[in-house]
Amino acid sequence: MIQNQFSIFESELTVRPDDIDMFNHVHNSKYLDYVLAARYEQMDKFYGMSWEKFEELGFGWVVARVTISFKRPLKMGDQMIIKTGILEMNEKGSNVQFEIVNKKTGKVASDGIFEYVMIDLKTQRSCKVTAEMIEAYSI
Amino acid sequence: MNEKGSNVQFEIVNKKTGKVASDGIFEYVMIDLKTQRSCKVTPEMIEAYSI
Repeated sequence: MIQNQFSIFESELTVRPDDIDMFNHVHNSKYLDYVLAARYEQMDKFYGMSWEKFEELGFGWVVARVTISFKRPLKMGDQMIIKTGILEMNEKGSNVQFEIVNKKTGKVASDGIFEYVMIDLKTQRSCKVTAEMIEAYSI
Repeated sequence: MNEKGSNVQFEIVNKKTGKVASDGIFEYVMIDLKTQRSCKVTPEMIEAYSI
C-alpha cells in the first residue's frame, strides 16, 4: 500500500461457497465485490459519511475504472483483510487503492486501484465532489 | 498471445444505442493444474488461437 496523508482502513471477510470457481479458488470477478463491500462498510464506519448519506444528498459514487492484480489464490473458507485507502480525492472524484491480504499467511492475494466519480442521482451525470465531502474523507 | 500468456481486449456495446458501455483488458496466464504454477503456452495452443 502506498503511504500518504490519507488513512488506510481494514475490513474482514471470509470466502464463501458461491465465490469458488472451476479451479476451486475464488473467481477473479469476486475480488471486485470484496473491495466494494469493504469500502461500503468503511464509508460509514470510519468516515462517518455513509453511502446512504450521499444518497440522501442526491449523489452516488460510480466506478469509472478498475485495475486489479491477482497475485495469489484465495480458497474456500480463507479469511481475508481488505485494506483500502484514498490515493487522491478532488472535485473530479477519488482514486482508492486496495490490498487483499490472506489472514492466515499474511501474504497479498490481490491489489489494485478503483477510480470513482461522483454522479448526480437525478441526472445520472457526473458532478463535482463538494468541499465538505472532500473534507469528510480527508482523514 | 505468446508462451507467457494472452492479453485479451474487450468491449461491451449497448445493442440499442450502439454505444460502448465498458471496455478493458484481461491479462491471462496459463497454469499447470497439477502444480498450480504458471507454465508455458504451447505452439499448438498459440496456433489454435491465432485466428
